[in-house]
Amino acid sequence: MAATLRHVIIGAGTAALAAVEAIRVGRPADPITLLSAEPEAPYSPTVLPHLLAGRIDESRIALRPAAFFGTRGCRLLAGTPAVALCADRRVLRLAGGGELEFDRLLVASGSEPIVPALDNPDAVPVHTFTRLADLRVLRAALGGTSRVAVLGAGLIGMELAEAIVHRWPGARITVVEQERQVLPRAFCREDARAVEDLFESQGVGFRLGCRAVALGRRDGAALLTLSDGGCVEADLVVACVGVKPRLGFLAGAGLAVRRGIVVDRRMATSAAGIHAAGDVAEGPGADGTIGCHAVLPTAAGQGRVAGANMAGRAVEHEGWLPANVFSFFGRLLVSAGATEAVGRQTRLGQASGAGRGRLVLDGDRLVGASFAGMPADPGALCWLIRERVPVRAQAELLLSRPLEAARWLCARAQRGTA
Amino acid sequence: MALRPGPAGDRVTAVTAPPALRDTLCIEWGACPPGCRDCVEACALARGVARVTALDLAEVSFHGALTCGQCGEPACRDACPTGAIVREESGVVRLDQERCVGCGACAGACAWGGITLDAVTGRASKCDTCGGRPACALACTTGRLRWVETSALARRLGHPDPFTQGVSLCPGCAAELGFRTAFRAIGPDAVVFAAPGCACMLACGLGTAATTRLPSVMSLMTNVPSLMTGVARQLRRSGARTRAVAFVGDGTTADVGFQPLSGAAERGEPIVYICYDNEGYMNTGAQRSSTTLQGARTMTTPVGPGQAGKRQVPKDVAVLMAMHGAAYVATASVSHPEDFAAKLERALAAEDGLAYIHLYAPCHVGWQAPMDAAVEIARMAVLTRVFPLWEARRGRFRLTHPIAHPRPLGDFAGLMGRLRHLDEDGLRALGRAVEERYRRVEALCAALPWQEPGAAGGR
Repeated sequence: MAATLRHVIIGAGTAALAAVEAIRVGRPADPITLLSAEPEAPYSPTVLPHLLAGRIDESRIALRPAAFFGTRGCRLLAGTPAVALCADRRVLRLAGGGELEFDRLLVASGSEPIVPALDNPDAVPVHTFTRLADLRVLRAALGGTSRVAVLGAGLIGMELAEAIVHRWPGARITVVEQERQVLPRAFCREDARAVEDLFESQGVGFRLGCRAVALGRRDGAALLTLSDGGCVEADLVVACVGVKPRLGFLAGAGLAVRRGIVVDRRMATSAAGIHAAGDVAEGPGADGTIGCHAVLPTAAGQGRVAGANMAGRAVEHEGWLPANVFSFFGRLLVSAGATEAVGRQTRLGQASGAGRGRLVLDGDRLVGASFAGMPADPGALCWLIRERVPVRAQAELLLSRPLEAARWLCARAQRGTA
Repeated sequence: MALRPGPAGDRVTAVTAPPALRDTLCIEWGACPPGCRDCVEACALARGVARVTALDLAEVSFHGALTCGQCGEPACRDACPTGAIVREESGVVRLDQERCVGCGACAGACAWGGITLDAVTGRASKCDTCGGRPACALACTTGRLRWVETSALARRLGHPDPFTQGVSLCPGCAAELGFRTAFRAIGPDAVVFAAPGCACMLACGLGTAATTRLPSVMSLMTNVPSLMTGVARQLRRSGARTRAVAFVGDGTTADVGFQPLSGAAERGEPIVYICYDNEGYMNTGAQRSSTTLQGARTMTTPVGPGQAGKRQVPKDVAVLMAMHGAAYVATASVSHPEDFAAKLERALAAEDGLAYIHLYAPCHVGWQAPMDAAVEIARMAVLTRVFPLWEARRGRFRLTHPIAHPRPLGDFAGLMGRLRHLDEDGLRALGRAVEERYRRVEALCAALPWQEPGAAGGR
């Protein structure tokens, strides 16, 4: 391995910073440069709904203290997006025309919002909600009695709706979702139903099983036409229909790209010396599925693995696993792995009082779990699924006391005393 | 274009490995009394939300507790979207509640049950060891949850290791570990004395290549303390604070070179003499020495129809040295480095006479055990009473690690091949001898109790 390697990281989010830590474990003196497209100190878009709700102040969201970059010997170029990559020359072109040479490159450029295709798209502005700049626009536009249309009932859409209710209880919110439930793919039908009920009790309206198809104006407000023929009037339209990898600058770079940048278990792309991690990477899941998984622990884990490999250590990622934590109006919803049973898998459920739990088992093994309104540990559940720990004998205990039982099963297996 | 430098400019600061955790909570796995929630209640009282989980699962007859292990590379920190989790210089992983938005990413990243999202408060919480006085440990009455401080050990072993890497001792050698530990505690102000045996490769090097940054003297097996006497007297005469320290084996100490050691102790020479006891002549192929445990198979005490290992009981050199009224005498074990370091401090402080430390250093090669077994064997020797840890000043004794409830002897004997031939009768006989040796030390402690220096009763 070369005496000194020049590391360049496109991005300064969760995956990028985890990579910095991992590089520094083995290579204390290599120069590291991080490029951030946005001018602010590095932050995670996860915090946006919490900022909007007023639960946290903007002065407390920096992913790392300002001194971090100095003590870790990194250069952060904020507000400097990469515009082109020449993989074989190992050069990165920056906005403004500068060039940056590298020996190891990590693409951790994150994701950008998907803009829904609507007829008459320019009739009124359609906002998205993935950047601090978006937050400032929404905060200025929202008021005590705003009518808000939220397109998409995924995690971002639902957290946005919850934040508006929290901050502006008089606002009237309509959430439009093309699936027949909220939080599709994250939680099962029954859990989603309970979420809808709770949101409705807070005055949020849902239009499920239909999409917005056209945009219009009426009396200065937006008029949304839905695929079921209905319509929604709103002062503000926010599209939260999903995110896609941010890889526009890679055009012509020669990296293998499908939905995201294709990576193996070491987060290596098709080009030597170039890795990718986080929302932008399309890599193996725990069950062998290949895909993008835009979730924080996955970004952190992939970043750590990418950094270790950039530093010359052969480390493999364990594979991402669907896992969701959704906290709303004082209730907690946790899911890990599969939400529904398929084929020979069995599904066990139990409800006690306000709490409900469900397990999906494949033989002895846990392949999915969800808990609503009771304490649960998503990390422990993920570990049991990932490590194929037999749990059938303790299924009842896992359903009645998920937090303690999952932690006990994990710890027992980790200690080899199972 | 002009690149705007980041906060660090182009300066690259060397960053070493993350800081080491020194002090930690230690919970004996699954050994809690059923229904006990003392630790959880104390934590909740002190910190609002309990950061220790009681795994009180009567359904599966399991009763234990679990809390954060303060990871070296914390996955929770890497996943936190607000930078609320920081690993501090102390090694403690701290969560700043003011920055937490309750997103649960940390709990999704942790597989160790160390961090919990509370739906009611909408915040995560984790153990931060209460600044070194954890309420849970103070509340635990069973001793299953303890606060273990190793920062004291780190301070005691504050000097850099003076020996190079890549010495030609066997991998997993306990003598090497003991040697390095000793001089991290003693520091650079010493002359090392060695004699033929395993450790001389570390003390004096190989051929013309030195392996130590300290001055070292290679002596014969028969005259280490005599040579040290001259050097130590000259050092004292010249006003130097430098100490003469021997690190030699049991063959040199108990057999070949015992007479000059006895003489130096009786004369009160101000030397520090460490014997690493691997119970045999290991450098030449594991022959018995006078400190070899009875019953042990060695090259010269085979197991067969006419003999079952060594017939004689081991010579208790440390007790013999204490009976000289030496300034300071102690037993130590590689499994108890903090105890060893504290005893080295007391040995160096005993400048009015000879200090002798008998260090238990199992030889996994000669004792026929796996490469990684030496420290565990040493730990079991202490816990089964095979090797009592004590110290004596001027012939006044105290046990430093009294073993009230000894582990069964099989836990020690089963770790090595040299005792594998012992049947139940053989183990019982060995157990009786072990017990006798331990009781002798107990009796000495009772009859001639330890006195702090300066108290009456010294010479």
